[in-house]
Amino acid sequence: MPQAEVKVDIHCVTTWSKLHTNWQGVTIDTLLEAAGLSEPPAPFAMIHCDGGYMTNLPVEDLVGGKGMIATRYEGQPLAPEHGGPARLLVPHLYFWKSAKWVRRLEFMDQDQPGFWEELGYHMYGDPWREQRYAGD
Amino acid sequence: MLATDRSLDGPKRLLWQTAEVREVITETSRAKSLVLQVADWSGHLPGQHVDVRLTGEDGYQAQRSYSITSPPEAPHLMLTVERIDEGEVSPYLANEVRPGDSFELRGPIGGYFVWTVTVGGPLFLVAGGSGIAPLMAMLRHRAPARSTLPAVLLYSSRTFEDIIYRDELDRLAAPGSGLTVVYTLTRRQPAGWTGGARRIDREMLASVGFPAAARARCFVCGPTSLVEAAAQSLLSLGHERSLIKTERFGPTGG
Amino acid sequence: MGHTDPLDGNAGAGLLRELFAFEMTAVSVTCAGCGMVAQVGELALYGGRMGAIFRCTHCDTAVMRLARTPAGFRIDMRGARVLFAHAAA
Repeated sequence: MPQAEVKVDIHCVTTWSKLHTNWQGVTIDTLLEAAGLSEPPAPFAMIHCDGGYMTNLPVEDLVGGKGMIATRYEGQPLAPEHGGPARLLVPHLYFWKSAKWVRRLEFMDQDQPGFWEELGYHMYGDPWREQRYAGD
Repeated sequence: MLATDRSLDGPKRLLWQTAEVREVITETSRAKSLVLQVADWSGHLPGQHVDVRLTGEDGYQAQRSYSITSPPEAPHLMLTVERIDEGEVSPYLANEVRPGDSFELRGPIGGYFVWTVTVGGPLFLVAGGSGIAPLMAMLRHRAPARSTLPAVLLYSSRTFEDIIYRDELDRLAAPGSGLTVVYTLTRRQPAGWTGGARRIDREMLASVGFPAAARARCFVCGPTSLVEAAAQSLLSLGHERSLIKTERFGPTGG
Repeated sequence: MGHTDPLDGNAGAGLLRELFAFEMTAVSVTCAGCGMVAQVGELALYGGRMGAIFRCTHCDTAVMRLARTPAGFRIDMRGARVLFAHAAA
């Protein structure tokens, strides 16, 4: 599949940010196209990962080049401790949304809370509006 | 087996208290012990830890856990901090803190990795680097009761100079004390060294420690890799899972 | 499984102590995933700064998950079937 490469800043919810990180992988747009979907089937997505971890986000935050499945970091294959072999990368949201060890994308008609969202973290997670916790 | 001391219950809420530094003791080139005065200290069990919180001028807070190294019988609380260069808390505690300084602390915390003489022995302690900290509280508590409790400490350090509490351990392990201390140095050994000269492995645990039939209480503390390997080896030597307790310090060892 | 190295559940004792007014690490818990009984202090602790996840060392089920946010504490215990807080002898 066609590969994409991006250089982005990542924002961790516990206030640090890491600037100019390099990732390589496949955009969600490319994945949807490869799956024969001209349009996402529903407005929300739940990302399912190893160990039962899940995180939710609106599909419009995944498409248009905003999200990718990353398989390489800083020129190297993604190491397990950084989420390898494949993780979601959605750099414009807080980094807990960039779920590690991704297994499956599920499309949903309604937004549902994922793992951390059920425990009180924000459903959307926009770092620019400091949306760390529900109600922020 | 669980200790039945009341201090396992603790106060209703675990509050942050002020700890005032009374004395700073240099243990090794990287480790210092802090003797603390904590006003409303409720007592503790050997093996428990405290959380220490530092607040910067900008309000940023960093928090870390440190094992209590003093026994419950001691008049003051003692922590031993090994400086980790990339650390957020240890550089301050291990380098900058002076008598008269104070910081926030709460505890005692932890009900799993504890031992008192009422639990009984024999006692088999395995330490890697700064993992000696909670085990030292156990040995300092055991000292008056030594006649009935055989104990072995297997202590891994990088070099001779990195051994924390060396003089005190040698004193505690005097003939007739019932305590045997075995050091192993993994990086460099001094001339004439007769102790261990490699990482702790199954063979060393078997030759130094109690046989499984002795039903010793085993406590393993230190970097994750050391703890994991030692715990697996103890299991394979026949020690019961319920008699092995581990405290991983994480990859950097605390 | 791909997780980063866990700590022992005992390292989560402070966080648990903020929520429970007694020592949770000495409490035994039955894993809802496989039925194994372990003390909370010996479960595998993951999470870091977002919260704490205590996993069964046998089947990796998340026995307890907790997060402290400004609103308060949430603890998801669907992975724990029974908690046994032992009486003092």
